[in-house]
Amino acid sequence: MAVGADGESGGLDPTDLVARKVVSPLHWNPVVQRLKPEAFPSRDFTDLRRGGFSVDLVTGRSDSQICDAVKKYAAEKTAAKGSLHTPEFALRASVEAIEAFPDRTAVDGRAFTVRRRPIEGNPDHCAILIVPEGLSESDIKELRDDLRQLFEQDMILCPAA
Amino acid sequence: MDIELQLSDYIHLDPDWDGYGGVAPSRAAVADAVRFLRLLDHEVPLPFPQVSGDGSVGIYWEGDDFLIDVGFRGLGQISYFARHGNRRWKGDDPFRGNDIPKQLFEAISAILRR
Repeated sequence: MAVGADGESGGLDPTDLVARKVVSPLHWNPVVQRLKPEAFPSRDFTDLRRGGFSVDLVTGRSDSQICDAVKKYAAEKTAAKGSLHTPEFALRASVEAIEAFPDRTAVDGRAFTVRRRPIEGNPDHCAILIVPEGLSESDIKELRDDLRQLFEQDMILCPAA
Repeated sequence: MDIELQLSDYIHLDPDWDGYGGVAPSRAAVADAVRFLRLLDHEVPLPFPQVSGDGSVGIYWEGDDFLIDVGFRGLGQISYFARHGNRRWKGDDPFRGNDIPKQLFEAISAILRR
């Protein structure tokens, strides 16, 4: 399901900052010191039932406040699921930068939209979604590579205490 | 750890392993990734394994100026994207485990056998 073709940003300002909480070491490649491409699951960007690619609105928050949220999230997940989640990183980017990637399949189109979508227990929850409809898996692999390179520019390391 | 063992281990991931409702890949997805690995020429460097919260599994190669990202869902299809400088390769092709799609083969040859 594609959304956001109306050009709205779901109540967000272009200067707003969002961050992805990373709580699994499987998303990091220690050999090349980079995030793995699959840290950005293809289907998250097109499937609203999965909530979109989940990020939190973090405008005005310090790095330590953001890391505290990552640690809290990992602890909550570990307690609720009985399997270990470890605080790893927060990946931060502006709404403007995320929405600046062009849709390569259309003139004047954009590839991503960021929309505010509060969920139970997280009023700051936002979703990143792909705007064009009907993209193939390989098209999405190409787009998520753009997004990965953007988020890698502002990674906040959040080591466990 | 051996890359085939790492891929096989992904089958045993717990529900919500990534904190975002992640699911483990199917045995069929991992089997396709392992079949693909065995098709690679011995001159090609070993790729890295990876797993997605959406149930797909993959392998990839990455360097300062290139990426080859290959994924499987266990549905008889292979999806790939590769870049090197201004060049791009991508495709979604049937995969039966007996050959590498032509475009992907070209990308691997152009990027990894330089």
